[in-house]
Amino acid sequence: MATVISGSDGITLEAGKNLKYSATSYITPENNVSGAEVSTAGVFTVKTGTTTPVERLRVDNTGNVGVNTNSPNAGLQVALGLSTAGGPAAGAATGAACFGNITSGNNYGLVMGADGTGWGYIAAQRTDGTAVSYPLEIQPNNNDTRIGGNLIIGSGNSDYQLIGGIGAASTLGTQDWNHSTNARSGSGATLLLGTATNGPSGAQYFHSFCFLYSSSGNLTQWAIGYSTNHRYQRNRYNNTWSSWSAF
Amino acid sequence: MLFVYVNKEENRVVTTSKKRESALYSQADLSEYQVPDDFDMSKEIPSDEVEGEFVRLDGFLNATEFLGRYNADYKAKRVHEYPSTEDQLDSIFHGGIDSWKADIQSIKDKYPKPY
Repeated sequence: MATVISGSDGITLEAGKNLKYSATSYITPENNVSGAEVSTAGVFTVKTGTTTPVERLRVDNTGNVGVNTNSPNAGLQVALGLSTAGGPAAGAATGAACFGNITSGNNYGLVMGADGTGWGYIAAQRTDGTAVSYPLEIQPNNNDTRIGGNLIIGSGNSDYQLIGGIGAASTLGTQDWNHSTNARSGSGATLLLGTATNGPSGAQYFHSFCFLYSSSGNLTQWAIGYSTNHRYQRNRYNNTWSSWSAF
Repeated sequence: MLFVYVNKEENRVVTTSKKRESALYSQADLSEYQVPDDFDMSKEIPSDEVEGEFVRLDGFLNATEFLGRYNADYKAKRVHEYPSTEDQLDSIFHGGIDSWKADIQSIKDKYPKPY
């Protein structure tokens, strides 16, 4: 028989006391057999200096788990991230989900999140305030006897170490050459028309190759003829594009 | 000699090339200009490293800026109007040196050297 506790305060534990249950027991919302109600579970905390409990963890009636959100839209949704543009500063892990060896003395962590403009970030770095970043390995394939270690971005087969996704992403080749998807580091997997906006002109298709210098936004862009031997180059410096120059 | 292709409507210097780009030469929205190799195509751009400073870079002229320099440069206009080397040799072969010199002189007279 279940014990029913009524009253607005529920159960109050004195300081230092624990709520214990056996290894084969669970903490579970009431099983409503009629289905008229749904069950959720949440964990609330009260931040230092405040008095209002805020829900920090939610398991909804579909099994979705939300951290810092009471309406998780995915199996696990961690609603943390930076409210402004840009990734976290090296050493800073606040406002992000963090995975990794943060229990070591050096607090190594893999910090993930999305900023206030929708850009996502993944950073391998110290998380204790020490401004040190580390290489990020993807598919390192260490001690792995399987064929693998290749990285596919977008679509493609797995015959190459890095394929697809980056470089020109224009549909039918008519997109502006200045568009962010056509002006980023990578290989010219798709084709752009020379006559498309800001192109080198000429009614022919080109591969767009871009070489971006660090985070400055300065880049060198090549247009390599698809079915011709025409080759052009231009530059973007301080957000200003140069004209094209034939090789 | 440098071939410069300009889209006046977009106020853009589209492409420069050491040789005539046939596909661009025949493109209706582009105008072709021929200028000497030493024609100044540079422009000062605000530095992205030091605020308040400028760096001089080639290739950043827009159409208005290019045409302003072009129209003020008698050498550029002469180069633009001179026949190709092949055509000049052909002219000498068929018409002789004096006839060729007269053709060239007429271009020089059309765009005189300022004093």
